[in-house]
Amino acid sequence: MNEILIQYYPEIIIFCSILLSLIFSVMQAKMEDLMNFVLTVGLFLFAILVVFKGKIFIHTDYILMKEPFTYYFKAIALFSFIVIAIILRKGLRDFSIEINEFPVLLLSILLGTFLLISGNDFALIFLSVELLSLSTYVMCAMTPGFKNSTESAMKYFILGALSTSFFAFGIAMMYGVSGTFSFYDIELIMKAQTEIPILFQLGCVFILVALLLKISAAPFHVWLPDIFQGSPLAVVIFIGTIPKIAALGILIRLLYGPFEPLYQSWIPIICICGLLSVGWGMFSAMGQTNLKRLLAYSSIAHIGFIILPLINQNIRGLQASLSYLTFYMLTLLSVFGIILWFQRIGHKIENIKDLSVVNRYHPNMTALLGLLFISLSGMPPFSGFFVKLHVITSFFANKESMSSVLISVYLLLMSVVAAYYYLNIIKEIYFNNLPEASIMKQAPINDILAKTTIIVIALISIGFFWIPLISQIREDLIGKAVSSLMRL
Amino acid sequence: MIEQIVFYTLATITVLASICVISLNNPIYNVLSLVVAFFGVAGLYFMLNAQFLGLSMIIIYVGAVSVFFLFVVMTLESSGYKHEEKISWKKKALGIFLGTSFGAEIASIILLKINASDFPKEGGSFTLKDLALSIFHDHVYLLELMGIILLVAMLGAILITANKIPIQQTLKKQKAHQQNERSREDSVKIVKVEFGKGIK
Repeated sequence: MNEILIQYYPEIIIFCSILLSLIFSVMQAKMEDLMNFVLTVGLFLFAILVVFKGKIFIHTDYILMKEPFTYYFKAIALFSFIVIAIILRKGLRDFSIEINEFPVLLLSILLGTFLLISGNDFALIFLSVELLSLSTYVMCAMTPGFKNSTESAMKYFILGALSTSFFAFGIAMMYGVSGTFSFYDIELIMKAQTEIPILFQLGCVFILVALLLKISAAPFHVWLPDIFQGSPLAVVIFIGTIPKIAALGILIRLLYGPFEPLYQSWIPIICICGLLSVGWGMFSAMGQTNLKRLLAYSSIAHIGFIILPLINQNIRGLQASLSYLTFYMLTLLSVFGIILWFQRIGHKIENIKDLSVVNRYHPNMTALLGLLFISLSGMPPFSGFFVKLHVITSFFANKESMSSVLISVYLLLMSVVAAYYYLNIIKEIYFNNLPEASIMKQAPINDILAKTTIIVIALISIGFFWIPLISQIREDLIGKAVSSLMRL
Repeated sequence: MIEQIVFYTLATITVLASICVISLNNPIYNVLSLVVAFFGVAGLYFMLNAQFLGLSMIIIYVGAVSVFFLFVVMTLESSGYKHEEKISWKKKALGIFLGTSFGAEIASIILLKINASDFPKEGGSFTLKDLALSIFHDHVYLLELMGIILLVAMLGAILITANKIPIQQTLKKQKAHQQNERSREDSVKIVKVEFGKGIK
């Protein structure tokens, strides 16, 4: 029993801290204290992850999997969690009323993420997806008086319920054929058979659809822009990053684990979804004037870039996918962090035009934001260029196949479209007539720690391909993760 | 022998109760006979050694669903149910379709001479004890996780529906210290009013 319990140590810590923070919030603790508690929990977990790095359990028959791949994803998720906790440390502020239960939801999302990333059992994965999505629905719906909040939460809830039903149906089919929930056993059963039964393929398709909806790949993306626009920034920064890391983690582990023998049925799905999300995201982002909506569409496009290299089924593709994910999450965090910081010090930022007003007061931070956008568009000296290059060259591994050449040409063309609207933001910031200044009446929060963190994260995300130490760590971690997943 | 007696009693109760469900005039009696029919079916499940199915039949259908039906019937129809004189052709068509399909099902069982032995036997009996072991021992971590999910769901329901405005602002009550701190100078002003001009 003890060995099993040791296996669950991060999850048990998060579970206990959920209950503790619930008690604190009932006792009407201050928001700042609660967020400090959340931050402490995050830092503690991070320390534990770093200390136990060498001691990784590989028990394929347990319901939780501990391998370098899950370790890598947990590290990204926890890192984003800590950054968000630091940014939100001084209270939420853009809610009309401080909601004390917010930290409980944050921690329960973290628990769902951890379980989802390392789950080795379909029943466990189903439950952790439920935990994750329930907390996000509540986060979206609980902001009173925020415009469109209830509508977007309702949309999210209905689509999420649909995806859950698909997920359950797919799992039922898998169970019906194999009689087990364990990934390991299902993979063994599938590999033992000469001809894979149709129910396995159907179940695989259903589960993939549900997960693609969670990461908002193209035909299943409609909820994302509304959620981004309708929720306050403190919620958006959370929903945009951590649940997506979790869903991508389990998606990649499924594709390269139990679904590997089914590659003929999942490669077309992932390919079509990836191509559609790149195109759809890029072209829809062009006409947007609302900054959050634009970021939502660009997020859909970047998800396409993350899932497309998976169809190569080789090490290069997987490495490209993982480094793109890391780059994108870091950049998204710092973009939202900067916008949130602007809001904290009293500038309301809703449309792209509002950025030009901010530029008069805080030219340095706006310049950093501009650099981040340039990096996202894929201009050469920044890391956005390198990750895009990595993705596109990963298709050159099999030169004889015409389709992969076509895909890489398509991605190149779409990057040009992306450059258009990211540069358009920079044009709006610097070369526009300034509209009237709109400064909120709230007292500004000057949080030095948050500002420093945002700047550091932004610099890392801009240059994480050529800052020596960080690129070393990145290559090391990604290499280990990929080789553990491909079982090399 | 005893088994057969019990089976036929339960089957008769179930069939009679189901006939009552559709033939009695008072809707409350209909729902009550539905409850009786559910009990009969639950008893049949117990006879088949499917204890959990029987218990969940009682808990879910008798305990929750029929009570819900009763609530609906009692709140909707206080003056008693009236039969429709004319039944529309849509309902007739639906009735004919359902009747023929059920009839065909029964006829196929009789005509094709399907025996109970044709169906696969259950692989070992799965009793309540096995179920309890499976939930509370093999999958105990999943059970814990379900607890957390329910906690978050409850928290979310309260957060979304509860009144967000703090109590101090909504509650109208005396604020004693403010009343005590008021002085005559703050609240009363003596004005000399000229005739015909009024107070500004």
